[in-house]
Amino acid sequence: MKTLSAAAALSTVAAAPAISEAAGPIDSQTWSFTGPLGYYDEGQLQHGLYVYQTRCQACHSLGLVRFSSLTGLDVSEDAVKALASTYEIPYINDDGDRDVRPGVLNDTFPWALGNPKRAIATYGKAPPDLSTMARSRIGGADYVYALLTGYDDAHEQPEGAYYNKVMKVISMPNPWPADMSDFEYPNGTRPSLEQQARDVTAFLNWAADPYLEERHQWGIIVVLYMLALTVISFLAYRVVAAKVYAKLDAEGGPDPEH
Amino acid sequence: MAGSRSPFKNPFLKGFDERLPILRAVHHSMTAHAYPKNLNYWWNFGSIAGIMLLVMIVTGLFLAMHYKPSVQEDTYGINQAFRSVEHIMRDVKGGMFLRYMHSVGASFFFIAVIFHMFRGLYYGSYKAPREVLWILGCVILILMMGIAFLGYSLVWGVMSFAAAEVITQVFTAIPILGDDILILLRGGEDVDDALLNRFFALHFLLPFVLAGVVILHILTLQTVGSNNPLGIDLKSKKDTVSFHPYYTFKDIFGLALFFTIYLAVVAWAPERLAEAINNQPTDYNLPSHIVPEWYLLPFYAILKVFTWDLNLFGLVITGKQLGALAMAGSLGVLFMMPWLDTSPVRSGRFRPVFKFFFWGFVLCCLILALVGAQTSGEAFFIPTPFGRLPLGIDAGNGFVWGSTQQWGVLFTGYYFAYFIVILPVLGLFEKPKQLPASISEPVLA
Repeated sequence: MKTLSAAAALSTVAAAPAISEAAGPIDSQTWSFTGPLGYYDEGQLQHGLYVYQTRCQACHSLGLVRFSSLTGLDVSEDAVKALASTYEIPYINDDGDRDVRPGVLNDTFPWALGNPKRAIATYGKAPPDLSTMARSRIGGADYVYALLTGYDDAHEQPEGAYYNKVMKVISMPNPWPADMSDFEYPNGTRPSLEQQARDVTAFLNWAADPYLEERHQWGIIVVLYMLALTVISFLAYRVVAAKVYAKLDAEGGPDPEH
Repeated sequence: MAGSRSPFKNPFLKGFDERLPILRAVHHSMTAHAYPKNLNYWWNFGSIAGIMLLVMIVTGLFLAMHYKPSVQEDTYGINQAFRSVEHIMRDVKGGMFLRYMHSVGASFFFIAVIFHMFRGLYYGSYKAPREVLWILGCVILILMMGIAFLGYSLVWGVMSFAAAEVITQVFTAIPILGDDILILLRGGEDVDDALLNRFFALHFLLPFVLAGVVILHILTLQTVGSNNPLGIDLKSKKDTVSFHPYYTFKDIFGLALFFTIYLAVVAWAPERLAEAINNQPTDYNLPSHIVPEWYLLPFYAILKVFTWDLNLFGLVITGKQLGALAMAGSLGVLFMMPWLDTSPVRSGRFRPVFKFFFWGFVLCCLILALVGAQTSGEAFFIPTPFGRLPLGIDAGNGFVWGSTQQWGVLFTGYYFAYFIVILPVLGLFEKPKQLPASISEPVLA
């Protein structure tokens, strides 16, 4: 851990760029999941998962997201099992050797780069885990979307760095290939760059906050209940107060010397 | 305190109470103890704060059953402490609600206590005979700040690490012993596994110490009695009411309203009051902009505004030491309140000049909170829904109006002046309004 922190500290400005660089303007977007009744659009999340698999997971991981939770994307358990088994999970086999096995429901999305040391040795800086990214930046999903759509390759940049409107010097390369005309979703549609960014942002927001819908539904029930309780307890207080005032006028309260 | 005969008719209650007379003590304080009959809604926050402490202890207990205080990193580079917090949110049944009720609950505990304390400051609840009551309250505030800081560190996110690093560093400002204290707090030279483990142990222990001080606070209240909006003593039975049923019902209403807001925040904006960056596991780099949680901001502002050294006839006090002294002093001065305020009148309602300075003090705390949240060397601004309202203008070769740091110095000055100049002097010169003869009688013409 100490060597890791030393290595991270030695790497240039690029170390923790999201933290150290002043963020550019972030436009707020319309999302299905904002607001008190906000919900996830499962179709969009499925598209987002596909974009994640295509454009993100070569470098990034979702180390806190279990495959089993993908059933929340309205995907059948068998399909999730099939998807999990396409990933290779490193483990120590019965002979004590390093080996890989197919993923199962209880596994989390693996990291193609293996571990932070190899990531740093390869890229000079470890691409961050994306499990909580959408809730670890001011602006949340708006930030992620602005960053993903903020690349400008025409801009002059130092060696090994890229230009992004949100983060002027970013060590993450532009994830979008120049020609995406033959890219299509499993359902055959051909999404624009903005649409892909929007879908993967929704997916990352779900990854960071998978129980948002449950919380919103809970909130409506709990807050309505509490509002009713507030009104009833206020009326009860007024009734009690009227009786207490009448009694106080007649005989007073406890003796202050008591 | 307790009557000699059990007040209960139910044979079980009566039998139990005759063997352990704890029920009659509660019964007595609820029905026979005299409370002022004119307490307004500002008096609701005491019971709310007490209930919030219970909420924090109960949710915290269940969180502790799943939390792992370990900085060890897995192959994703995620430390075990951070992972266990996320495990609570993602895998534990109801865990997300537990965790958010605890993290949002810390904010709402502070909201209740802040209203409770400003009420005490306005109505003079710290004056004789309530000095001990007030001082125990100050102890509660300091314990709360410590516990909140410890708990915030446990997440082991980016800002957790920064908080642990920066706040333990403050203690090195103490001459001679500073470095040893630092090692004692951290369990070593670095902010590492030893620190996290002792922070967890202390974060579990101190709330029970806090609960003990709260019990002393309530016992003291039972002895000296509640202050009231008029700030005058209880004169006769016409001024009093028993706690039950009047204040029990009033407190239940206040609690219901407060919890409605609290739970709405848990449901729809659980991260709104927190620093987003702490949702990322620490990589042991300090973020460029370190900010504590909102409730510590005014004190953090006082800590960081001193950027110069003070030379007292050869004795040099560094800026860091000045900041640490000032922050300690900003809390320490609260303990002296009963003796700093020289006015014989308790309630601010009858003190026309005091009112002006009191609301100035409230504004001062708000401005210091903004100073604490902003970057020292940049232009100070007020955040509004329509954008930033700048109160400092950077002319390029210096500030025309003032940087965040300059506004911080100004209002740190007011903070201390309020306690050690304004309150002592004001009491000597201010002419208070005519006090009513008693709570039940109107003001004499």
